[in-house]
Amino acid sequence: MMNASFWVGLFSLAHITLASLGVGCMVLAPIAEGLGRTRPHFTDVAYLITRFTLVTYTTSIVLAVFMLELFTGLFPLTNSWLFNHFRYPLQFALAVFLIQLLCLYPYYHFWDWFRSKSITWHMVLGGAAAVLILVWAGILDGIGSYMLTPVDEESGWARLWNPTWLPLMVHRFFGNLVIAGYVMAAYAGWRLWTNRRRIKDAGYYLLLLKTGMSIGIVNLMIQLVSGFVYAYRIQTVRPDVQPKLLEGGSTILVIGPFILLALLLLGSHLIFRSVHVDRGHSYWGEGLYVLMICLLVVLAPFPYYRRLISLLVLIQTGWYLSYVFPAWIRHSTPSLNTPFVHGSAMILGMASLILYLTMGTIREVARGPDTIYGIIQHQAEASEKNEVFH
Amino acid sequence: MTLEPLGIPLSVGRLAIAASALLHSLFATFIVGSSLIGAITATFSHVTRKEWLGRLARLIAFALVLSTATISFFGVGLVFFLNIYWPQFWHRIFQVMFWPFLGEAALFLGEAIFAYAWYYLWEWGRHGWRQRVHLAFIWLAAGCAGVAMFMIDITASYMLTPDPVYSAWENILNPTMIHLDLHRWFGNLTWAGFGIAGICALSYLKAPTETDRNFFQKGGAYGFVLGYGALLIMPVVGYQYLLHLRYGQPQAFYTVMLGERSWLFAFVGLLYGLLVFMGSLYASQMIRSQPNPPVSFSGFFPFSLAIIVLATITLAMPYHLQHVPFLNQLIDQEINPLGKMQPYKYFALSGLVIFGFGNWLYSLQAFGQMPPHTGYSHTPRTGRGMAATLISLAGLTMIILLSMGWVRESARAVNGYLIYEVMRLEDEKSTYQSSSSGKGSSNEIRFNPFER
Repeated sequence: MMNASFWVGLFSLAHITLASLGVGCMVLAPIAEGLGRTRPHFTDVAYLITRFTLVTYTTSIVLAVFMLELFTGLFPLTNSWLFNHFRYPLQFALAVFLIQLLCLYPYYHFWDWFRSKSITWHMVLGGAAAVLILVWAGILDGIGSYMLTPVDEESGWARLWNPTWLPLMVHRFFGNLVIAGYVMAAYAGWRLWTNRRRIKDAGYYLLLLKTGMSIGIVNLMIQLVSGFVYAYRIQTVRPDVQPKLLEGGSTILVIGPFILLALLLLGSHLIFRSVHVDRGHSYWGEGLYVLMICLLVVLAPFPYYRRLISLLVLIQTGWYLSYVFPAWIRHSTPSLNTPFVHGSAMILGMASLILYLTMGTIREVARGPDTIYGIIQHQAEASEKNEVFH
Repeated sequence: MTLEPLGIPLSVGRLAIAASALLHSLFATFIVGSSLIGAITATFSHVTRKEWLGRLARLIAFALVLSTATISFFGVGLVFFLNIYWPQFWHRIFQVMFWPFLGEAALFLGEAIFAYAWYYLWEWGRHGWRQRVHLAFIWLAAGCAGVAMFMIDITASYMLTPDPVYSAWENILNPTMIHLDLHRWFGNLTWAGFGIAGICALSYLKAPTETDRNFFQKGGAYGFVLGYGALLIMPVVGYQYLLHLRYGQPQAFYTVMLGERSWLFAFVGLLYGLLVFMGSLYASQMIRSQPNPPVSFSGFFPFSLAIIVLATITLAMPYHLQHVPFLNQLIDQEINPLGKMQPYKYFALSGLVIFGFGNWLYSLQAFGQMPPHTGYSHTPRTGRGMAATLISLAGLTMIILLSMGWVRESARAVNGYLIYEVMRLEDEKSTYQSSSSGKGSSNEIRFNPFER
């Protein structure tokens, strides 16, 4: 059964990585296009991330088919139960998905034609694609959250309204933006790295790097809060989950994300630090910040202390950004065009993706030994019953 | 485990599955055919350095990428509908065909990755060693698509001729597997060829410049030559397929050829005849647009057209009139002796293939003599007429493709099977309503997905 979980998990994570990036970029594209009305570079950013979305998005859908087929073959009970009990929301989601595709593809492939007619309507088209994909993701989040915190309701729609649906949806929304931001910055870092002898596009890629970093760090800060709300909600409804995750080998699943979170915070800080500002680079203050981040990792298995430290880190990060951001946004920042910043941005992009994946893994582990809490057990899907293995 | 009964008629589920499966197959077949045509076109472009071939390859790449995106949605939709409406069938077939299904999905992933790399890295692959890597992308995409189709053909043919029912290799190499796959290869090439020709024809009608019109004319002729060539091979492969169906599953064969759904086969015959007829018309339009058309054509074409019309009528005639919907209420006659397969329809098919082939050879010669930078010399009216013929060919191919899929599904469904001799439609009924205890749709139904 562990084998089955591994394979379904592996392809789910591959799908989620691309899908979440796609969702994040889809939300950001019309916003960037709107900003492009006054700063034309942002129109290029919008086009670039839409192109990136299309490629990752279709691949993620194909991976979804693969994941669904693995799920059908290896977890037939859970699969049929979920499809049966959520059939109306799923059919609605499918219809939304189709309309979303009909908005997204013309948004990219008829970019110039639409913009020559009306930029506003083109943005509306992109915005509609973003809203619809959030509806689709929201319904899937409802099913995912139900598997951990089910409610005894009669209809599929009512089952979506389980205690952790909204917190999960909010947490994922900002998670998508975190990885979209950091991956955007990583891409810019990579382009600056490979074209460091050519200065032609440096201005554009520096803008992309700054935009990506800004999106990443701001949403990461929100993530700390939304993550707390989500974890608190789970703890309220299912008090058995947290002790289970903190015992034995599962502890690493709790510590791991905080190591990655610390890496993202420290890496971001180092990149922001390379911008010259009049005040704020105090060694005492920065030493304290590093200490707090280390404590965040060390105290990860102790929820009370971890939350306290998280709050302090959040305040410190916000305070630091409050005086770095004005210089970051308004001024030219040639000091960012160094191999150190390029490399750091690439590492942070990878770290954000891994962080997203570890979060997904925790939720799956938290359900064990059930596939749907209190309804279907892993054991019921055992291989000796399943002809696929013979 | 228990499930909630759906509480809707079985026909709703059948309709949902049929619609999603047919839409899915329409795009899947186009992808297989267009990726191969794209690979051939890109290779010709790479070798000959002809500009119009490069432009056409890019057009095909765009169509391929859009089709891949569309089919990925329809794929998800089909899997959703199968899980919702036919869970017992879906889990039963999945228990038997786990690896082919997985292989198909993995290869489709490969096709998507390589097709996307081909289209989106077009500028990247323009110079030096990158040209060959770029060319490799579309061949890899075509390879993945072809093998993915092979995988799904294993399942599709097994559902009709599972012989024996549970034995891995025999399941894969069931009596109709190879022939179905071969039949689909040519079918896909026909559909993709005419589909590309149809896209070129539509673009021709909207083209703003003379250069664009010349290009789309040439692209349309190119797609036509490939599609029409593949169309003429279809009866030969189709005959082999039906022959093996006759030996593998006589009841299904009888249903389609002489039984309840024989009218559907006659309808497919009508569509095939119309395709050959329209193709011949396009060939004549191509040839007459040449500055010096071959003299022999003026004698051959009217004769060939007469034979093709006669053959189409013969092929479309049903043998058992009582099976034709509505007609059985109008006339008492049960048998139409002219609708017999042996010898009339064999003669009709031979006539269509031989005279269609003759017209195809003329069109091939006309295509070969097209000037490199211009299209045909004709009036705008003739150009629009040629475009309309190509669009009709693409439309007819779509209809015949869907009808053929319907024929194969009918061969099982009319006899009450979802998987021949393994699972009946009856077995899925419990998904729709709880047992006849009369307690309504709120009752739960027993469901065991491990059952064989």
